[in-house]
Amino acid sequence: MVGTAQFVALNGFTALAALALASRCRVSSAAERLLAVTVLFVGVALVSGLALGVTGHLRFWPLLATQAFVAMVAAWMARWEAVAAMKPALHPSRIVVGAAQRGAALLLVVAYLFVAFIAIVSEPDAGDALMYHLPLVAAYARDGAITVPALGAFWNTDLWAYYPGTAYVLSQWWVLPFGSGVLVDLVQLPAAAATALATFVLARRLGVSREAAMWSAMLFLAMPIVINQCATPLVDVTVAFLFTAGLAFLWTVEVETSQLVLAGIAWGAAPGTKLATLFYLLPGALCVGLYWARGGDQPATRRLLRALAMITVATLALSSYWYARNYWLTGSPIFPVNLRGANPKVWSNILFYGPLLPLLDFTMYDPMFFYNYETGAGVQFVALAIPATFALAARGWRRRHLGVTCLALLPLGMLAFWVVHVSTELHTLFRYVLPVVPIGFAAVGWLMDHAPRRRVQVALAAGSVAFSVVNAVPHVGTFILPASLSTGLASWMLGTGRLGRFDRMGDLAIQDYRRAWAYLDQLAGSHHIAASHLIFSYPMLGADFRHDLHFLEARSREQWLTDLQAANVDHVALAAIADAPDAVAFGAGEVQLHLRVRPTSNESVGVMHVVPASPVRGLRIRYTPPASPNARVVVGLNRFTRIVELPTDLSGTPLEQVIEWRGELHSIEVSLRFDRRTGLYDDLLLQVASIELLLDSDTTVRVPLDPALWARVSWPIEYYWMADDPQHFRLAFRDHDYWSPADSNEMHIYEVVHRPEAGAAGGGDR
Amino acid sequence: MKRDVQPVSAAFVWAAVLLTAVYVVVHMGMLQRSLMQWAGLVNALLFGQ
Repeated sequence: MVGTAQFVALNGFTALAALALASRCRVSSAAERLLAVTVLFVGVALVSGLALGVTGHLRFWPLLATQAFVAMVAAWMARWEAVAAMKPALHPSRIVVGAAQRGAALLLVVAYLFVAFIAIVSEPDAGDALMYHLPLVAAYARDGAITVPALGAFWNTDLWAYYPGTAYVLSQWWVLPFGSGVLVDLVQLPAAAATALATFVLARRLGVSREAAMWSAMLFLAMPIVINQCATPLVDVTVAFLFTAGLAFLWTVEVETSQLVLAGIAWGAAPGTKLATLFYLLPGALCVGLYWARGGDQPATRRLLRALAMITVATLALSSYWYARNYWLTGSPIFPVNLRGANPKVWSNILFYGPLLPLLDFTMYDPMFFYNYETGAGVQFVALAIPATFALAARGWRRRHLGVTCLALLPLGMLAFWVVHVSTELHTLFRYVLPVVPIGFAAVGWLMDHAPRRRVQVALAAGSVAFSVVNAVPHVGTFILPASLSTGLASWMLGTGRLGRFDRMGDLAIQDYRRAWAYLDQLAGSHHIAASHLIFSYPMLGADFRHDLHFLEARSREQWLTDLQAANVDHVALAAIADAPDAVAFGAGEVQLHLRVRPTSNESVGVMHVVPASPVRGLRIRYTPPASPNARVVVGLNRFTRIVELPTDLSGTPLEQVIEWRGELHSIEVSLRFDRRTGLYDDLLLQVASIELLLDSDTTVRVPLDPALWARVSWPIEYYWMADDPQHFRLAFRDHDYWSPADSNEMHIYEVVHRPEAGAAGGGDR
Repeated sequence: MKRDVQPVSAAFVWAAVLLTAVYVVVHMGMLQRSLMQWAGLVNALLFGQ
């Protein structure tokens, strides 16, 4: 409740400041003034966020005070009559016209409300977001400053911490009020709405009627990639907003100074949002220059110089920090991008799939045809926008209006450019094309007004909206797991803690990460966590970002252990690809393997033991099998060099089993498996009363088990052999049904105990 | 930009119709899966199954 109030206050003050400042702008419609509000929101937020972030004061209360102060000053200067004049134009009956448009608008409203709901009750599951977008947002919030946090090094993701962070500064408006990332999935939702508004304004400036311009805006909002990104804290929709808003304000031959300022803010903020933005701004500026060359009272050169000066000043104020910082830290302003590096080209993709991609609109993933946050331009792009851009380009050409022709061809030009540039991963293509797509939809509005068969065109537009919404929403967040969704809803309505988002289930593909997330989130206090070769950093930080992440790149195992101690690391998180480190824990007593059934896989736990000095001839295990008929218990020796399946037919009855073994024994693994032939709606419980090592000397050594360790660990975890402590070996309980050895998505978390004599507690709070 | 009232060829509209038809046919399997997922969600939320 407090978080919600703080969220409303912070965003309310910034919105008030933006509204008051927008009232001073000379614009020609309510839509343009509303667009000015959105751009000025970004301007006010960014200047404040950057100033506080660079000086190390990026906390909630200083930010709120700054916004309140700016809002008061702006409100004092405001022309409130201009704000009041917007009211009639914002009446719903004036915004949507006709039954088809009302129906499409209603469908979009319902779809976006549902998308927002899914985003709230589920956790982020977009790979890029987990790799670096969210870790950067979290690091800024945790540190109260713009920092370069340590990220895992898989795919060189650690270098991505240097990416410009304008979007991450803006995300603080969604994060700092709550002290967590509970709403962080929604950061792009207002950007999508603002992009639709910018599309509307751009269409109107192309001479499109209100009704047709509204279709332009709705077609953008219905894009499957936009729908999916609105539940994903990436930056592509934000870039689309900044580019389209700047373009819309510049697309007039008699550009007012205030609109030049607005365009400057939008295009000045864009380079700080994504490095690739420069590829849109340069051709966009060329189109504007060519358009201005055709008319206007002032010479085009003079207007162009004024615009360039304004955008340069805005860029210096809003985006130069990131480039200057990277130059200062790394010697390259555009680090980690290396322009001299060879960019591999896949010509079969470029020549064969490239031209077909808008039509096929497919992914590289099974089942090939589905929408997600990277794929899904929708039927409206290939069927409506592309023909419309050709029509508009042809009209511009006939009228000798080169600026219009260039503008209309920009979406196709950028499509071709990015097909070549990202030919190795074409499934990500539309993320890069997205910023110029609104131009295509503005052209659709133009075609509606100029081509015959308007009813056919309206039917196509409405049908496209429906087709895209129906197919896009089922791939947002947890939609495909209704049980998880209803669980999330129930938990959300009960108001459990931080909304308990980390116990939710989402996309099956990252099941393992979700478990890691949940495990670290339930650890009490803050912890130092080391990561290596780790692709997803965000799960390490906890719901409220309290954990610190360290990236340790040791040359040797000894160096690794030394570094762990030096950094006071108490947990290590690794992907399966990593060379496993060692971990230590001690204890004694009876152990219970407690498998809590999840929709997809099993659970397992692990503990360490002491290796006896005498040779081993076998082991004896006393256990009580699980009650479930489809549970299996497997013992593996020396990393499953030998595998023995224990009887489970007498469930609930204590059993004793002797396993023969000759030779060196350095690991025992007990795996509790769930055979998913039938449904299982209860917990699996395997009780291990004792494990004894049978020695050649006819004596036995009881393997000490640690109940506290078992009780604490509730997801697959392994404790590995310690090279510098050969007297210990491990007993690990593993889940083989879900995790295959080659699965690079696997992630392990190891608790590190620096002082063995301290016992198994380990992982102390700071 | 001033309103340009000269009509554009209907061929662009028929091209849009054709492309829409092709796109929908290509993605018919996706539509079927999506509808099943919607049905599954409604079923789960209404009947808890």
